[in-house]
Amino acid sequence: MLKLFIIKSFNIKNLLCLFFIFTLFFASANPSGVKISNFNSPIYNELGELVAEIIGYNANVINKNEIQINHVIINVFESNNKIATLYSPSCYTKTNKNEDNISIISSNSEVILQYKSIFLTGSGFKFDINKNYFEVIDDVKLITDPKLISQLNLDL
Amino acid sequence: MKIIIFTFLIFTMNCTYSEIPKEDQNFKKFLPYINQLNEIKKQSDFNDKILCKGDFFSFDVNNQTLNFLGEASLLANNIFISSEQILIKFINNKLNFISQPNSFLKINNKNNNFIEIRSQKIVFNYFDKNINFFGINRFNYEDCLLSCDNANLTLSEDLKPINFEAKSNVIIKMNNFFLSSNFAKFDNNPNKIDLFGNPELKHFQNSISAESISIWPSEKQVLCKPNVKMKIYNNF
Repeated sequence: MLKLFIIKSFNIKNLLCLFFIFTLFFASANPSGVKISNFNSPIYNELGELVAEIIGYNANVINKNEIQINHVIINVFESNNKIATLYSPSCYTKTNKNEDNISIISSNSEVILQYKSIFLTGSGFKFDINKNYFEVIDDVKLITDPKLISQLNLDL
Repeated sequence: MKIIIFTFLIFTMNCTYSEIPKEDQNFKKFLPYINQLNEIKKQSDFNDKILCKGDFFSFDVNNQTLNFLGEASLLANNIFISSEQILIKFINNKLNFISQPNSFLKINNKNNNFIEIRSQKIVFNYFDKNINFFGINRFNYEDCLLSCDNANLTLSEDLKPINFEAKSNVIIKMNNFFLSSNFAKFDNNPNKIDLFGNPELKHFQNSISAESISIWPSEKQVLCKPNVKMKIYNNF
């Protein structure tokens, strides 16, 4: 009886270990389905300079090269100084096959960009990290308050 | 064994939120942007704002240049600018709108009269309230048509025209009168245009030249002084 129990428990242990190894293997080989919450991810260029910072509410890993983020703030940096901030309810990040870094962030959702005293809204955007180039696809509208521009220049 | 099960649970459990709890502290940082986006979407009156639109927009972070393409337009108070491209750039921390090519500018006045300007390139320095026109420029004001190579328009704080200067190959057409000079200065009050630099007035074959010629488009009056030379033919 004791022998049978030992054999059974040994089998269960083995099965669990095998299951765990399989789970680990599939999780590392195919990360789709993995979900991340409340994260902050800095992005650096080839020179090691901070280019952007992604602040996400939650994200779904679609595959090794693609992540979908819900509610994202992207801070854009130039010479380590924050120059613009972007918000979108949803976006996708893509990495190059041979690289680990995010190369393109794109979205079909609404977007708002704040640059100095300027606010810009639109639908859909694409941010090329390597080129440091940002595009808004449709319904682009820029609004600024003249009073804020005056204040900005007076302060400087 | 416990460690294995714990690790297994970490890998398999769903750690995201299906709904956004209102009291979620982590979500609070997104709310100002969501509110700002909704506010702009709701806004329909942009009278006290500068509004820029385009079919397509790009932002070159390295050059810090905002670029509107397609049917690009700018509205600031009584000034409307449209062209194929409008660039927005802070030069020495001063906001500049660069409109090119095939730019069109219209300024509406209180008296329902307006100035229309067509130019290859318009540079609007918003902080200094100054607009420069480059390339072939054509101006339409009341019954006057003016063309020149370069021009400059100074505006008041509330973006009303104060002073206008046209340089190089200045030609003004007023009814059947043609005026030409190297330099022209426009004063909004009392609606007068002064021409300097070999100014000449032509009416068919007849012509008048002087050191300066002043015209009042609204009153249809011309004053030439000094050293006036006049050539008169029979058809005057």
